[in-house]
Parts: sequence; structure tokens; C-alpha cells
Amino acid sequence: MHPTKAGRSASRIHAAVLLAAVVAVTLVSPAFAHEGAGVAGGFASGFKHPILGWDHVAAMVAVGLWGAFLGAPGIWLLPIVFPLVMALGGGLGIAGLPLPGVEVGIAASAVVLGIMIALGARPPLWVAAIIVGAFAIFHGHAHGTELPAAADALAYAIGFVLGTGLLHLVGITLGVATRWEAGKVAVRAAGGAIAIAGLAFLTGMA
Amino acid sequence: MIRGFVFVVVLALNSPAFAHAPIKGIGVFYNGLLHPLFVPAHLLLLFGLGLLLGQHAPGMSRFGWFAFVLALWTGLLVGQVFGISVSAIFLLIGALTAGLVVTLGRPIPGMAAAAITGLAGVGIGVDSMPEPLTRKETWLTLAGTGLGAVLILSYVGGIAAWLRQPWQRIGIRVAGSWTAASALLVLALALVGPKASG
Repeated sequence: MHPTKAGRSASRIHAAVLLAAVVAVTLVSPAFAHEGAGVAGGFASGFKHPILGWDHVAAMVAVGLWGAFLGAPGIWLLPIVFPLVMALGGGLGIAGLPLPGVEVGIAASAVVLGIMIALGARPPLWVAAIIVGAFAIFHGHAHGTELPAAADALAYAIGFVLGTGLLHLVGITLGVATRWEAGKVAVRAAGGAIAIAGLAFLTGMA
Repeated sequence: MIRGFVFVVVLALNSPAFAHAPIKGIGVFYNGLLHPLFVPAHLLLLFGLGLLLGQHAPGMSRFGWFAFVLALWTGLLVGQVFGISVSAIFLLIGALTAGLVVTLGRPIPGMAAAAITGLAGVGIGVDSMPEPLTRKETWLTLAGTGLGAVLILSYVGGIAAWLRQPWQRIGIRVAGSWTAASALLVLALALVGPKASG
């Protein structure tokens, strides 16, 4: 059955309308504020950076767990010290100052912090702060070298500081279990697991 | 020391690095109202200032809040009339200062808080110039920004003042350290990063 003249005409009109709609949708400018895609993209990539790297995750959770194990004021001092020193390390990375063994330092942070938790170590607070701060430099340097390439640097920085802080919070929340004897055993076991994971990162097995 | 200060001042007086594209379809007033939410440097600074004022309210907020409102509206006016602006570096230094003071958790004199919030208010005000619009639309946008920034500061400050439990006070200090860390990183990028060093 051949289409009628009127039918062909209607089809052409439909095709023209469809084409016009596609062109209009393609050419219309998006209503992003402040290049929202850049801000949102920068925040998302910064937020994902510490969360998607298992070596970062292990170390950040360990900071929170150890803080909880140390009790007040360690529970809040370590998560405050870490982002500030991490930012200093990030500054080193941004400035292009080389820091030898960054990846080794990150993996070692999981090993050392995991061992501290597994042993239930309670050193003086300033010693704990120095240990955590020293490793924060390595984590910050790794983040900092990626900052210049971020879509929106400030949104990236806010995203990854927030991501890091939330991982600390996960550790602190899990660490609440140290109120109970069985919980202490569980947290120390988690520390042992983090140390083993750190060893795997260190030796390249993971 | 003086050369370093001059360097920072010169950087601070550069043109802002942010695009100011409006959201289509919501009107100029609401665009102005939402403006501080969409500029990360403004939002970070307002968040830090809110924590600062709320952490030691009412002693600090008594001076600081009014100083901010006055300075913000002055900044909006001065920026529009004289066409001057500040760069994000000035705002980030403010966010870093506010974040560090919150992290330390020690009260500072009310006049010092007023000075910090006042400088920050001027900075946000002059950095909030809208795209070229008609005269009426420009003033509507600025009115929206003036209200939006004050609302954000008041909400953050109010919530921070409302949180009185010891663990909540610690949470405020942690949030302060996050604010300072974020600002410090981007300041490093601006001052010693690849673009800064050419």
C-alpha cells in the first residue's frame, strides 16, 4: 500500500518538527549557575578520591578507630589534626615539592595505625598526634598533586576534606563499640585487618 | 615580610576567578539570593563565619553579626558604584582564619570577631557583582544577595549556637578544621601552584 500525498506531507512535517526539536534541545544553553557542572564535578571528584582508594579508606577509618580507642580528647583531636596537616601536605604537592615514597607512606599508615589499634596502644596524646600528622602529610601530598587538574579546585578540596572526614567518622562510629569488652576485641581485630590490608598495599598484593 | 604582604594584597585585588552565570527562569532576585550558595568561596567563608559566631554566641555574635550585615551591604554598594572587586584569595584567607579560630575553640574579643566578619562581609559584597543587567534588575539581584548571605550566616550561626552538648561542640571544631583545611589547600594552589608560578 503506497502512502497518499497527504500522508507523505504529514510525515515530512513530523520529521521537520522532530528535527527542529532535536536542534532546539541541542542548541539550548544549560541553566547551570556558576558553571555548576564544574563546581559539582569538582566536588564529586574530590569527594570520591579518598573513598575510592582502598589504601586511603583503610588509613582514614583507622584514624577514627584509634581516636575512639584512645578516648577523649584523642577521639576528636586526631580527626582535627589530620585534615589540617593533610592540607599542609597538599600544599607541598601543589607546589611540586617532591616527597619520596608517597605511596609507601600511605600504605605504611594503614600498617602502623592498624598495629596501634590491634595492640590497643595508648601513647601520650602528642605522640599519637605526631604519628597521625606525619602520615597525613603523605595522604595530603597525594591529593594535592591532583588538585591543579580539578574542574573546580575549591569544590574539589571541600569534597575531599569532607570525604576524608566522613571516613574518620565511620571509624569513630565503629570505635564506639570499645565501650564493651567484646567490642574492644572486635575493634582490635579490625585494627589487625587494617594492618594486614596495609601490608598487602605495601607489597603490591592489593 | 612587607614584600609578602604586598604580594598578597596584589593577588587579592585581582579580578575574581569565578563566572557569574545566572540560573535561567527564576528571576533576578532569587538568582541574587542563591548566589552565595553557588560560589564555593562565598559559601565556605559564610560557613566558617557562622561557626565562629555561633560557637561563642551571644558574646561574639552580638558584634560580629551586625558588623557583617553592615559591611556586606556596604560592599555590595561600593562594588556596584565603583566597580571594584577582590579575588577569591581574600575570601579564602577569611575562611582559613575563621576555620582556625573555630578549631582552636578559644573565644576571641568581640571587636576582633567584628573585624573578621566585617572584612569578610565587604569581600563577599564587592565580589557579588551581577552580570550586566538593567538598573532595576541589578539592584534586585544585589538585594537578593544581601539577604541570601545574611540568611546563610544566620542559619549556620544559629545551628552552631544551638548545639550545646560537649560532643556537638567538638563537632563544630571538627567542621572548623575542615573549613580551614579546604581553604588552605586552595590558597596553596593560588599562591604556589602551577598557575601562580607560571
